[in-house]
Amino acid sequence: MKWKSTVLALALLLATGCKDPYGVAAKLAQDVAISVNQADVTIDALRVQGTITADEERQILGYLSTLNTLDGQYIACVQVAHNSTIAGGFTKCAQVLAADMGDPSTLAALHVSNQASQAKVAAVANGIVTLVTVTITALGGK
Amino acid sequence: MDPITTINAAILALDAILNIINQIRGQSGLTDDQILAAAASQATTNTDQIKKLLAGLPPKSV
Repeated sequence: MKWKSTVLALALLLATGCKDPYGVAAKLAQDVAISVNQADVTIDALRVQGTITADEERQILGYLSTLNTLDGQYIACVQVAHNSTIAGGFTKCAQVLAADMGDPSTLAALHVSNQASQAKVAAVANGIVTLVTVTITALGGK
Repeated sequence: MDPITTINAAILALDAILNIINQIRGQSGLTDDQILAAAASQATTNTDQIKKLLAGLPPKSV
């Protein structure tokens, strides 16, 4: 639900033009951080329910840890962009985040054997990727 | 539609738009700097939480 409302909000922003790229960039950092937090809890619950194994949870937590690290790097990048006069800084930060998130070795950790759980894991990953992609578009090169 | 109903509908529509604007801005009342600081704080919390979850898992299977 949060994903839908966030994507809708960013789509509206795209339609009306981005007047606050720093705010949009900061919001992405917060959304990714909150998503990682929620995903941690969800993945652990799936393991407790017995639908994924401990090894699979370990792998996915590894991915989430990487994603969290990337978000930290993105936050630092946004701070630099905010204090810089170079054009396009916020967009470049989000593009780096998107590129690193899409690294095949990072995404390889997302496979689990239970199909229903795999769908949930994929939904989380796809939701975050979509959010980053929509934000890049909304930033409009700023 | 009577005038009161029309006004109520307009207020509801305006409220929906304001909600979307607040979502774009993160949490209502926060500056961009505060939103970014909140994100950094959440990321730190996430690091600790992931460590705890990993520590609580049974040993790796062989």
